[in-house]
Amino acid sequence: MTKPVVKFSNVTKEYSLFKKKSDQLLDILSFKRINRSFLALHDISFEVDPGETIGIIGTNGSGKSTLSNLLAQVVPPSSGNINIEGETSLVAISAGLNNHLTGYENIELKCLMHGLSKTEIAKISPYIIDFADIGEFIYQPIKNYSSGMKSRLGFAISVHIEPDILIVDEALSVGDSTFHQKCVDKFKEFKEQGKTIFFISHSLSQVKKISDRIIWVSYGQMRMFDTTAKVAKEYNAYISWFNELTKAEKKNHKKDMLATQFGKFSGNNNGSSFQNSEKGKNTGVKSLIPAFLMMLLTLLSGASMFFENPSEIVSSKWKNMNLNSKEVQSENSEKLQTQSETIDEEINQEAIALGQLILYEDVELINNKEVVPSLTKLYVQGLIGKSYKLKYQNSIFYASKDKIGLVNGESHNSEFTLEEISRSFSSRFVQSYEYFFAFSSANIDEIKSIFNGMTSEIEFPKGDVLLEYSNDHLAYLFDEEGSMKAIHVYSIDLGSPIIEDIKENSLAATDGNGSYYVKLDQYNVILDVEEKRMSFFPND
Amino acid sequence: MTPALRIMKEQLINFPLILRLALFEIKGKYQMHYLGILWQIINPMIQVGVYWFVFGVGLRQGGAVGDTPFIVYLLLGIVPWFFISPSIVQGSNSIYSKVNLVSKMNFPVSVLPSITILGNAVNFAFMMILLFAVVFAHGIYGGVSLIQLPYYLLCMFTFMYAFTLFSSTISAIIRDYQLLVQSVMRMLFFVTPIFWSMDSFPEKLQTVIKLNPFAYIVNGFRDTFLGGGWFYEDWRYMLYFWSITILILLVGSTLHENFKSKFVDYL
Repeated sequence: MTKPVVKFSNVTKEYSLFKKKSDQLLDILSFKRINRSFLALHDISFEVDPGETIGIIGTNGSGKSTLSNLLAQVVPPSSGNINIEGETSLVAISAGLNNHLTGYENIELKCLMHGLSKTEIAKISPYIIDFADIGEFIYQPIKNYSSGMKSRLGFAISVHIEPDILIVDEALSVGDSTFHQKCVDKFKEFKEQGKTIFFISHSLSQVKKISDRIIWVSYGQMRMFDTTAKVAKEYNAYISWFNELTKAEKKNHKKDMLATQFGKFSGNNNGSSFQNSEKGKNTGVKSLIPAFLMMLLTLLSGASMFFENPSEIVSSKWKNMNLNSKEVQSENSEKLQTQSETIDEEINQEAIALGQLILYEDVELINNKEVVPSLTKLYVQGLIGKSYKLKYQNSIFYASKDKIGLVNGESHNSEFTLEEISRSFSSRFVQSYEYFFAFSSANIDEIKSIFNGMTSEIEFPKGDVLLEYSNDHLAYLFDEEGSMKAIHVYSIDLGSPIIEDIKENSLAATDGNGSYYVKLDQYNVILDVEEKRMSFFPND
Repeated sequence: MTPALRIMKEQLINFPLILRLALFEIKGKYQMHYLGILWQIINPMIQVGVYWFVFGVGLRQGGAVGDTPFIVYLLLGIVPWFFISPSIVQGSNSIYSKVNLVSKMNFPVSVLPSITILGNAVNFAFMMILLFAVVFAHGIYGGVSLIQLPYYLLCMFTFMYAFTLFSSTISAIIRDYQLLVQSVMRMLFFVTPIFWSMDSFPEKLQTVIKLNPFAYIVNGFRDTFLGGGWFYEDWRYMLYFWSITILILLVGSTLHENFKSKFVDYL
């Protein structure tokens, strides 16, 4: 006995019926399964040997097309097993034809989709064209074809791609008798090659002509599967019995039969679908792991883009955490910290900021903490490299030593007057400085309205405004509220003897001898040697 | 990982098939038109002209972006976009629109998005030639950074395939998703730095803009042609792009494998 080429065992195909579209979505997500279902095919089992021609017959809606789709493996069964050996080809009316392409191009396209190579296509195309017999129309787009032409072309392509199993679904009903004869001849040729054909139709006469055996399906069940003669007799008997019924009886019969097809999911089916979903879940969980890892990576890399240097942030955070825990552990942490730093030189002196000063948290001067204005009082503890470690408002900071003037040990009494200092002003300014200094308590708007010749107005980030009068070698600095903070005098004559006096008798001076601080009656004065500038801060 | 690998292998094995079916798709599309395939060039050129006029001459008063003339800057964004956007929208619909044709035969459904992408790639190739011509005509020469073009093309194709595989599966089952894709793509045209430059935004906002994977591709194109920088310089951005691409591919292929036999049921 030969091995069956097609084997169906307990195949059931069930369609879910949904009242609402949203029920379908819930069903996909398998949240609930309370839908009604329609049993298109129920518990079908049969075997077919190679070389057989099988007719499938039944009334409308009996499940013939579902069966043909199952045979062609277009739709999967809801439960049961289908074993098919070899390639199947389904001939359905104009399946897979592109309306915009010509017949010839469609031949190529469809053969391609069936996995034929270019040379194979070139070989069989003439046979297809010959068999379809549509003449010059082969070079016309399909949309110009008559329905007969379309089905002929579809049929011609399907039979010529050399399938092992051919499934013909009502395809011949459109062709005329000459074409029909051609098809029957082709089927015979197929049979001689030992290929299997399924022929699906509701016309018994057509089926009878070519089939060896017939499957009779009725309302989703297989009523009979036997030799042509036997089934034909029974089928005819059924049809004539049905036709003799009265209208009401016909209706009742149909209703009863359909009722068997509707219902909730059967127990049998439930088991199998449970199996299916179980399998799906297993693969789901497995494939979820890499997906989850990838999601984590996406989130992390996305988040890391928001920081300049993620690795540094992480390491500094870690350091901070370590420090914090240390602080909790011992109250002497500050001592430890100071010990760990190597102070190059102990200073321990009062100091004054000579110019705007940036205070940093760390000795490398990276994390700036605060900006303090000129003349802020500080206490310098020691020198570390080129920066001072200092105390300001009871906290430890570090700052560049360039702008910090150490208060001289021996206190000097201010012996200077504005007049004396004015000797170092440029020759042009020395004559008019009194006029300019007369407005040392004016606000920004007054200064703007009184003096002409302002060359530029600079606004600093913290709100300070500098009005420059470079022709007069002078600038006024205002705070954010517009009141005067300082008068800058430029182009100081450093050769003037008074400068030496100032240097010697200054109250505070930077280490590098860049800036000096002296006090007048009305002003605090900072001399910046490098800039050749003197800044006068009104003395409240 | 296996469904993703299986699907990628399917693409490679079926590549000749994809190529020829893509050609048929283009043929079918332009069969009816007298100018035929010329529309592949005419259509985008008209659109570029409109955008150049509205956003270049009208809004920016013809101002350059940095040192780059606006038309070059615009083309470098809009040429990839004119490839990406229709491919994503059509690709997302590819399974729904074609599963009828292929369901009656044993056909690897996962190549349907590829066919759409490759079909649009012909148009993209024409536009790239045009782009090269315009860029060189303006005397802009990216120098060695031009060799990273294959890398960004790889990024583009991989992301597009991953995304269309994912969304074509979803949109075959849930039709509403297709409309969502269309709207989102229309929105992304304005959110992606195509006809504007990111430089004028604060840094944090720039990073938010960069989270959009399309921005990675478009910015990469600009870097390539204008000599902006190497793709590995911003390795965190590179890591982000590839991890989101692989994530979409993983989820998409798992979904696709689970639903591929049932597409017909949902039609």
